[in-house]
Amino acid sequence: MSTLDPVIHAPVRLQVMSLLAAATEAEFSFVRDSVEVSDSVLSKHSAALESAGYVHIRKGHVGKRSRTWLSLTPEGRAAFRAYVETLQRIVGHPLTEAAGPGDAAVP
Amino acid sequence: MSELSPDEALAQIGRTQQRAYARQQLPLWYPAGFAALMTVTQIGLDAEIGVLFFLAGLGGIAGMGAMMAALGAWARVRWAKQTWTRSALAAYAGWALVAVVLAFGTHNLVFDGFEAPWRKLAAGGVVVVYFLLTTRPAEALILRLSRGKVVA
Repeated sequence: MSTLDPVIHAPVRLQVMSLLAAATEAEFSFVRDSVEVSDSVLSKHSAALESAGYVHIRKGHVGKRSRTWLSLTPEGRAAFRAYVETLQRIVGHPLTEAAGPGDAAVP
Repeated sequence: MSELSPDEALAQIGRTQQRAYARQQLPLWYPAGFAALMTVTQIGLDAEIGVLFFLAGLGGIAGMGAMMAALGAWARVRWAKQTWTRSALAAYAGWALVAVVLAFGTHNLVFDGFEAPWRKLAAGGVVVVYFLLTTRPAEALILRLSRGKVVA
C-alpha cells in the first residue's frame, strides 16, 4: 500500500481520475453528477489534483453559459497508469480485460 | 470516507467508468433529425437550381452543420477513443448500416411506384422512425458490450 500514490488513492479523487482517464475532457457538472458529490467537494478535490499537476481545469463559454472542463494532464495519465499497475501487482490480477460479449466484467 | 483496499480501488475504477458511460446518452432528436435533414437535402439537391434547391438542398446542409455544432455544445463529456470495445464498435457500425440498408431498400423496393420526391420522403421517413425506435436500445446494447473494458 505504501507505493500507491496518495493523491489518487482517496475515494473521490480516484473516481475523478478514473472518469477522466476514459475521457479527453469532461465538464465539471458531468463529473460532479457521475461521482455524486457536491460542487464544493468536487472543487476541493479537483484543486488538489490540479496542484499535483494531474488535472487541467479549463474555463470556457457555450453561448452565455460559462462551463468548466476537466481533463488529465500527461503527468496525470502517467500517474494513473502507474497507480493501476501498482494495484494490479498488489492484487495479482489485471484490470483491463480483452472486452467482448463473452468476456467477464471487471469485478 | 475510509481508505480503499486495492481490490475495492480496482473495482471502483470500473464502476465509475461504466456509470459515467451510462450517463451520457445521445439526444433522441439527433440521429432522427439528421436522417430527416439528409432526406430534405437529397430532395433539394435533386431539384433544378431554384428556390427548392437553395432552401432544401443548401439549407439542409447548413442544418446538418448546425445540428453537429449543437451536439458539440450539448455534450458534457468527450470520450477517449480507447473506451470503445471491438464488439461495441461493431454494434454501432451495424446500427448505422441498417439505417443505410433501410433507406436504399425501401427507396428501391418498397416505394418504387412513388413519384420522385415522395419516394425519397417515404424512405427517409422510415429511417427517421427507425432511429426514433432504436436509439435507446442501441445505446443499451453498446453499453453492455463496453462492459469489461477499463481504461487506465
